[in-house]
Amino acid sequence: MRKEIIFCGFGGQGIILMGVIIARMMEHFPDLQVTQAQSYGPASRGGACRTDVVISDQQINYPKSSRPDLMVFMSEEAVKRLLSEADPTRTLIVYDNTLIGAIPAPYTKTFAVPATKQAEEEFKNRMVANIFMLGAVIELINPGSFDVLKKIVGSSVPKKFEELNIKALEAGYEYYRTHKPA
Amino acid sequence: MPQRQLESGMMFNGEGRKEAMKKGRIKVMLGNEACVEAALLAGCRFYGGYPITPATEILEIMSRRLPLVDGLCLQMEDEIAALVAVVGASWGGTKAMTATSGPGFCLMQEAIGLAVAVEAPCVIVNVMRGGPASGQSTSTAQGDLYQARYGSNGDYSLIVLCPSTAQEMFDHTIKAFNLSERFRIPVIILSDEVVGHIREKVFIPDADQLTFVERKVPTVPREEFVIFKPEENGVPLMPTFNTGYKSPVISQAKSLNGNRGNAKEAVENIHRLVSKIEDHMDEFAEVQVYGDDKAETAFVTFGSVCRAARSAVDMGKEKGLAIRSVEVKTVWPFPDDLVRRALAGAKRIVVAEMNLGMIQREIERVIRQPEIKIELFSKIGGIYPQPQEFLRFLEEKR
Repeated sequence: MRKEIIFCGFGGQGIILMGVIIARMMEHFPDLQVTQAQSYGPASRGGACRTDVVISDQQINYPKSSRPDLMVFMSEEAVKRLLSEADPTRTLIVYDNTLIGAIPAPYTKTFAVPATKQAEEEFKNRMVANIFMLGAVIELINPGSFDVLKKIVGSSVPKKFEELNIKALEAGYEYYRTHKPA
Repeated sequence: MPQRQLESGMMFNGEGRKEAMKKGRIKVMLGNEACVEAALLAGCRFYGGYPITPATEILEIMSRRLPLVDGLCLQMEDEIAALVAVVGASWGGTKAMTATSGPGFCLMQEAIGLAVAVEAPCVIVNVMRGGPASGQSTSTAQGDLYQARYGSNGDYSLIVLCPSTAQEMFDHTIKAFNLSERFRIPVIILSDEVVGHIREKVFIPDADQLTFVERKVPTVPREEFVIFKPEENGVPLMPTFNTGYKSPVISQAKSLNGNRGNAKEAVENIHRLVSKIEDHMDEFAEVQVYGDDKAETAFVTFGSVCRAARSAVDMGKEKGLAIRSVEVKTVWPFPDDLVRRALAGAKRIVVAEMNLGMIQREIERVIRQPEIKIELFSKIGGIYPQPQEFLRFLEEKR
């Protein structure tokens, strides 16, 4: 089993943190290996930004994504730049449909999550859009690990925002349960 | 082929990694973070540095961690001063290190020669990025290979290790401190942006499961002590400053008692500085083979590129292609014999590296068989090669 995930968006959305949280979760799964790589430098301070996460039950050699199973898009710019890395027949594309109009053909395996809209309306803080999104995709990444995710999110954000982030995470998870792709 | 594993003597006590895994802990960490963790375990208590992408995390984490163990982390005015401070700390009896990237590594060359000449054990990490000059600060590269070996002036030798995973950043750091203390030399860890910035699981053994090497200090009466007189293994005893042993430490050609030497003494000293390392390569030289070690097609790689090549070997296997990947872990002094053995029987050799052909020249030197073509699969400009590209190269260049 080798699963490749790419999170992408623009700098400041907490894209890299999403990858770091998934990687840190794997400390709790002794049988799984993980690598997390990131686009680094000016790209992470505005502009397009990405992190690659690879999870496997074997030793991971190539540490980046070359055939992504899941791509999570959080900006139009990222779609423009990186959609061509997706395989129309196998890559599941999750996108924040607050910020992205539509995923063009021939990419049909898609799942729209209004992460930024929910963060703004329900939590009055768009900062938690990334965490809402994490809640919405965790079952697609590592099924049955929501409790571990919650723990890692709690320890990855500033104390005073912990409660807010956990609520956003739970809301994202709930969104997945009620809207999940077939 | 016989492989020298890190487990075999330089690192683990007794049973090696498998036994050690029963204790210790596993943590997801950055390659650069793993380097710090290992350095502290190895007893490093001084860090002299100057920040530079993509090595800055090492300085950052050191600045938080060293004070907690009564160590000292100093940010100097530049990389020259950083390494000179490390040399001073080393003579002060402390295990010391620094970390940098290409432009800073350029500035350090002078002090690398100093460390070699005054035989100061220390560890220098170069997390490589694109060059020349300031180049591409956030991009990966492997263009400093020759600089790591020949960057300072004159004839000398040192040891350069090339990690390809966060775990190897940890392992090689322990090994680097041990080798630096054993041989009284600067040991360079030649990492790159991919390895420095990868997050993955790292196994951190308990300290009591590791082997740590310490420099040998003099115990003879002070008046009998001759500062640069080598022991049987070519390495002199090393007093700590201010312990009463006469310690003239100069960077010029010197006699055994540390004063300026004549031409003959200078020549003898240079030969000793080289042979104390190169006569003992079997203690540390390491080459690994991944895949089918009888395959006629062979990749040769070092550092992060090893990982992409491994995946290419696996993909090739699925398609019925037999490939071996030869990974040079200790690039300097170049392990000629181990590489020759690892490539025995290979008919097609593809050297893959993120520069315009550096290890390739070593392979051409080592494998002198006109019927074997040594090809170069080169990627520069911060592009980390994908496994599929290795296979495409094999197909297209056939």
